[in-house]
Amino acid sequence: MQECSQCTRKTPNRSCVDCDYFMSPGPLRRKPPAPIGISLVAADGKRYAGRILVLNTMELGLETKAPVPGQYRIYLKQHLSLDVAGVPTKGKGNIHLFDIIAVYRGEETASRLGNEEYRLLTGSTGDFIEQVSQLVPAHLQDLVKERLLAELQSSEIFNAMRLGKVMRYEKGRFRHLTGQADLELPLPAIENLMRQAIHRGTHCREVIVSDDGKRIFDLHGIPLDSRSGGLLAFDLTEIVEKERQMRRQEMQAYREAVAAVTNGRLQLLTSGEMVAVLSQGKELARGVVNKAADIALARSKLCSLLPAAFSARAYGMAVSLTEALTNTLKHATGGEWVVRQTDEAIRVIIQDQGQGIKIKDLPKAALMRHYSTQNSLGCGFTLMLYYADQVYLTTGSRGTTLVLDFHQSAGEEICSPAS
Amino acid sequence: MLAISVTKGDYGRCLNLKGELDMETLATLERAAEVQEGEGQLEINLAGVSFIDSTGLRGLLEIQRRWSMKGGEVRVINPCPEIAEVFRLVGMEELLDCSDQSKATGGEY
Repeated sequence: MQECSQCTRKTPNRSCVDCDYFMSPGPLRRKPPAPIGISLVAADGKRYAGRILVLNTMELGLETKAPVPGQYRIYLKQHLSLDVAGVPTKGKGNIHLFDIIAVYRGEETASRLGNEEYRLLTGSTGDFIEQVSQLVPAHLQDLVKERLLAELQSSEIFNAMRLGKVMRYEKGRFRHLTGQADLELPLPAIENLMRQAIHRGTHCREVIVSDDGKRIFDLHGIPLDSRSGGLLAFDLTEIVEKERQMRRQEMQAYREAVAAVTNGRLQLLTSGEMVAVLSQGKELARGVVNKAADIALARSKLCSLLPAAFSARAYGMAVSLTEALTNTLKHATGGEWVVRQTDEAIRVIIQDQGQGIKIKDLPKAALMRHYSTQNSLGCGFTLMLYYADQVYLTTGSRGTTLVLDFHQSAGEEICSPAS
Repeated sequence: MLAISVTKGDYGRCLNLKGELDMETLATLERAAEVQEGEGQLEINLAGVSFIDSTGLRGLLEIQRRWSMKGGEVRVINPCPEIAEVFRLVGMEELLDCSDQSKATGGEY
């Protein structure tokens, strides 16, 4: 009491912030890079403005006109608030020392600031970004920094990081550090990930779907030591939905482009639309292709079962079937073929479980004849599109289904069928 | 299946192909052509070929490219109309020998 009252008289301009009597020196005493504006709320609801000038984990040095002694609550962010009590013997003028009586973190209560809160309050925005982004694997750091910075610029420091959530995992418990507090993550999944990361001592990543199937999370578990780690969760739902939407639009654009450049001869179908196409008519033959020699067998089988009315189409059909089956060997591990007869056409169906065809290459393949000689996909397609009257295609990462319809020709006889 | 006999043709060695030229049989043709490499000119006679696909066509193009790099020349002769049409469809009609051009461009068949 002596010291501060004497100091008020003798050296009124001396700063309390650096005074060892006001707040004990030590590594935990820190000044925020800039004073942090806060409100002190008294028990009767009256609010006083204040600024945090200096702090450690148990005390705050505040500039405020709030009466001291007195007990106040300080709301730092959504799920973090403090109860503080002014210490009448420390400070001068509007500068007072406040003891931290309680720290409320969501459901938890503590008697002092946690490391993270302390660091958040004492670090600069830049430091905070560095710290958080260091929890993230190297290739994501720049992205996280950039996004955090943008977030921080548009909001207050404690409301930062709306894109996801950062949590600390220690001794089997999670504590929300920063970010979107209401982001609900499936506990078993994040626990599992953190245990794995800590056990292996390395960054572990998992993309999971919420229990109700509605949200998609990108989870990163980063071990900090043998018992604790950081969890960084990104909510990808909107990004994924946006991507799906773009893919649907892109698909629609290609459908139209492909139909236009082929005069409707090539139609891209969704797998749902394809189901009906596959079951029309009656089956004449089917087979499997695992090696090049199987293709000649398939070709010969096709030609042998063709009704006489289709003999003029035999060569084109043999080439088309061969091209499609060759693709299944080149781009997948082989495939299946089925020949069906519908009311007016012979329908040849070829399916594989490969990586799918790049849809964006199709309009080129269909339009540019010479594109074909440099491109194995295009070459086969050029021929199939020439010989078949109608081509239906469904392709995706789970495989490709190609349907080739050949109509009965209008009477002209050409050469002999391939044998 | 593809069988190949070698005769002396108008321009040099002639490979007479009989059967089908596709992914399965292309290697047979490539080996036969390799044996003749350095001969200057090579004819590939498709008279006995009943079927060719794009893999076979690319194989022929590759053989021609290898030969021309060494100063040689490859002519493909006697395709049946269906095969000539396949050459035309993929833009490879120039590979066919000029004297067979009428056949090669033969959309009228």
